[in-house]
Amino acid sequence: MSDLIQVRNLKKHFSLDSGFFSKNTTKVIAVDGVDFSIRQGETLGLVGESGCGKTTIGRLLTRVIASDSGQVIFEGQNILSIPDSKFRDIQKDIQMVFQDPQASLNPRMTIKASIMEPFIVHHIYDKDSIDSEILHLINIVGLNPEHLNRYPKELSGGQQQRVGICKAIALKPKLLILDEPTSSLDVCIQAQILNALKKLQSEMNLTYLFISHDLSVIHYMSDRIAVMYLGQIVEIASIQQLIDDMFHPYTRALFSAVLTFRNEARRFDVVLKGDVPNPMKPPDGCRFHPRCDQRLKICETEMPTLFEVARDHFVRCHLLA
Amino acid sequence: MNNPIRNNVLLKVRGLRTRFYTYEGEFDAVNGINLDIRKNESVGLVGETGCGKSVTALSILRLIQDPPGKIVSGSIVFEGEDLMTKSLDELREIRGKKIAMIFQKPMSSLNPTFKIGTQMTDIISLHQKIGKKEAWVRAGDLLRSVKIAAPENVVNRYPHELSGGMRQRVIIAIALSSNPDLLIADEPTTALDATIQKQILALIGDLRKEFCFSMLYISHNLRTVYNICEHIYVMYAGNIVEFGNIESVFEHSSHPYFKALMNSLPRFGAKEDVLAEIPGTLHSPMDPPGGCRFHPRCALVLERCKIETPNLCEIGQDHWVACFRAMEVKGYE
Repeated sequence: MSDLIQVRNLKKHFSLDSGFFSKNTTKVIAVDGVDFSIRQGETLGLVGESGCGKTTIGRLLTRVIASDSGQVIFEGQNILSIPDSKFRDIQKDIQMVFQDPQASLNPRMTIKASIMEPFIVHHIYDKDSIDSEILHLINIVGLNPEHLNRYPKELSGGQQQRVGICKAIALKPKLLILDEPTSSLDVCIQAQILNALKKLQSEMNLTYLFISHDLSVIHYMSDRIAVMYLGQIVEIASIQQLIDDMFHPYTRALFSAVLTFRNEARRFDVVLKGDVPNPMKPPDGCRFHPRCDQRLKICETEMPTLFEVARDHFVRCHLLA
Repeated sequence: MNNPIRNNVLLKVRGLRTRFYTYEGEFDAVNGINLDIRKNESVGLVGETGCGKSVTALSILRLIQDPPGKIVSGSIVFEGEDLMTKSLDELREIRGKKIAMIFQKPMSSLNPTFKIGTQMTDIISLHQKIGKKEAWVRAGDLLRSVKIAAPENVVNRYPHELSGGMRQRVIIAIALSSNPDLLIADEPTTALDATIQKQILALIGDLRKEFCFSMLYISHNLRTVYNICEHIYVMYAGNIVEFGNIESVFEHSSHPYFKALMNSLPRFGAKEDVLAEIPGTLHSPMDPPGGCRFHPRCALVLERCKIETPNLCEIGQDHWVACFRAMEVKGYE
């Protein structure tokens, strides 16, 4: 399988101005040199704690916010360097589903108007076929025609999220970025949405970047997993490789934080000490070293690089280099 | 009613019915439930959004805002006394002192304009007649027992200067400041990351040994409840549909709703192709379906379920289910 999208050394620092006349600006390091690629038709799960930069990556790929440096190669061209006017065409191929379904729908627009909007924005609105097109779309995501004339507040959270997915797939995208699409939903609604997404993927040959902090959901959805910590990817591997051999101490801690029932296997039992460090003052050396129970002397001074421990399995840790 | 006889009962809720009066009509958010909490026991209350979990908790403390809500019937017996008959002044002696509560959002439970130490000592000196100096010492001790590294530093900070996990620790410290007999925790870890959630759950476990309190732990997360509670109550649309010993209920889940809820969780180890779903959504609270309230979404529905409401029946040792077909669903051999 070929790569649909390649991300190379992507960086984004947000600067916080301390005042108009002040010269010192503090930088928040949101994404700090991230590399990964997603193959055609697969799901890459992006997991990490809040504030690690997961959402920022999704926003950078859709150019909702501008990146500082790096490349995003989508179908052979660097989409970060092309002008806005040309990016419009590519935008159709990269769509996003957001975390809060209610906040991502306009409360004054009916569901039909909301779903129609992408067609109008991209000037592919065809008066004769639009109705049947919309009926087809809502059918795919499991909504009924009676929902079309309602307003967002009249739908449940699960139904609102289905509308969000419907809008995102309306223009037949190639890459769908799903930013915690089920974290605000109840478990049984979550199961409905996750199943619908899987079905969609095989029917429309979609490629997913699935962002979540819930490892059991990531595990269910993804083919490969990238683990992020403070703006960097610390481990990336296929799901089976990761389950068999997880190397990075943070990955182990994250996986052991998944609460289990008695009949579920657990391999590590690590309780992490302390909190995620302040991203304005990231620690020197390995970003994870203050919380790591296996740290070496070198971890405090030198930043480890991503190291290939097995085929397609990369880890950023001095213990393995 | 159908509850088993249990000794050492600290809190006994019988026939609790909390009704809300809105412009669209009135409805019972809590529909006549029974619930027991024994001494030193941790009880989980689980269910979907809108099933009445939080309303139950607020009703126990009689914190339901009136209007729109009102407890229309039932009794809440705490340490042998019915809280429903208490005056507001008497309730004030109980709230926060004998029954403490922690809420979901650690940010909105703390006042952003006061230092942590000030907020803690206010509450400590309200419930315990001790001097200011002693209260500050006590605040430091409490912060130490919730495993905050530098208490003397934290007492002088404002809530926004602390991380979410630290704030939740401070709130737990405040809740435990007067040695309550019962702690009601309403989704205390939902807003936190997985690794921090694990820290907090481990902390609550340690504190239960140290302070010996009973707990009502409300959550929609079945895994946390399994890991922290000894008893569990499952709510659906204002009713208790299954309850009992945590091992029995999880191992032999017998209500079609709870069984389906368990199956809809993505699991580790076995990678499913398709997750089990519960079709449809929770009905509007204004017009609950007749008979068993779960019947429109139930895979095992009978004609009888549409007319009759099933009662809670004991189907195993300390395991009660409200379903006509529980014997067919149940995981017992």
